[in-house]
Amino acid sequence: MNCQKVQSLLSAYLDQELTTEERRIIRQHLFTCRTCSLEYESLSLLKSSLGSLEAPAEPKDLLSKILVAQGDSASAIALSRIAFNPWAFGKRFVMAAACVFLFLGAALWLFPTPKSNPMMTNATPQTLRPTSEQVIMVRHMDKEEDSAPEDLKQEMKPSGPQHPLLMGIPVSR
Amino acid sequence: MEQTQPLTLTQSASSRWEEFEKEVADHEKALYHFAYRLCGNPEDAQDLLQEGLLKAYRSYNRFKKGTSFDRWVFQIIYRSFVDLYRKKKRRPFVSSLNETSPHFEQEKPPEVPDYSALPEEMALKQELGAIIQKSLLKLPNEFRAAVILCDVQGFSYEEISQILQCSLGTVRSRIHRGRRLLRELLRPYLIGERRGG
Ligand SMILES: [Zn+2]
Repeated sequence: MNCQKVQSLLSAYLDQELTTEERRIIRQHLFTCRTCSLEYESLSLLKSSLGSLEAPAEPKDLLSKILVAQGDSASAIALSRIAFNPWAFGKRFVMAAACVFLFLGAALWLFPTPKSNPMMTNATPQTLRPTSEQVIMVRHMDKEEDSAPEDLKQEMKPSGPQHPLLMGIPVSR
Repeated sequence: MEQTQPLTLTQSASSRWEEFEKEVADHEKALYHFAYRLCGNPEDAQDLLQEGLLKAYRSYNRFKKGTSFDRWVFQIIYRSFVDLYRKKKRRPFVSSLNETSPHFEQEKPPEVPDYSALPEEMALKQELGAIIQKSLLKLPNEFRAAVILCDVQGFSYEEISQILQCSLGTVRSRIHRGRRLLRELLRPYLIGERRGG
């Protein structure tokens, strides 16, 4: 084996990805050839430097985006377990803002002039109290929690034989 | 022969989520490290990982039980990385050769909580880490991914060929060429380190 051939195999040699015979030939060559030996040492040093790179601290709310995107009941449960979630925080903020606007709007509508104050009439309770129909609807929705959303069902359809590792890979959109 | 039980709709979304969450918890450190080394900065790495995990969760029902969850997600992350890279025509994850990327500067804090408090040896190691990361970003995507999977994550060529969906020969060539490029970029620093240590 000449130096060029040996050097082309040095990475694989370093990674122990060669046959026993190849390893033996290269080991012998490295004993006698200084050029290839230096080449090997530099690659080896590089590999160990890469191997000693420290893992950065991972973000805390990694899965929150998934929960939001899925929007299913399991996600909602898990979402409530997350200590701080920007999305939930944002939603609360929007809700609070909406309440303020609603209150202001209602106040303006209810008290345009001192003469006609609907608060004093019998117009109030109907709209505030949920009807029996609404109550039933809410209960019905609770029961449906476990069924998967429509887009998930579509994802679950099998799609022909694939490489084992390819099984779950979505087609890129 | 053992028959693989296909997951059905009867499995509730809740237990499905819990299972997925557990799998992710077991591997998230390595997955995030991979994304981080590919992108070179925490913001892009987090986006990439979340994109990958979202795709993985959506197709989790088709994940074959008993196969490696982490390799499966590594594969999804790499594909997402290539897709994102294609979409953004400009090269978002690669800093130019001369300019110092702002992201690159931001890389230091998570790795170096208190730079001044570290012993000199540690500081040097951190500095070398930052230089290596900068050089990694100069490699073509395929070379970078192969080198990271091999040297940072410690996968075998066979495993890398599954993750990158290419032949063993291609893996071997990408790793070797990637390392040689990297070595040229890092030559002064690596020799310096060697003399020092
Ligand atoms: Zn030689």
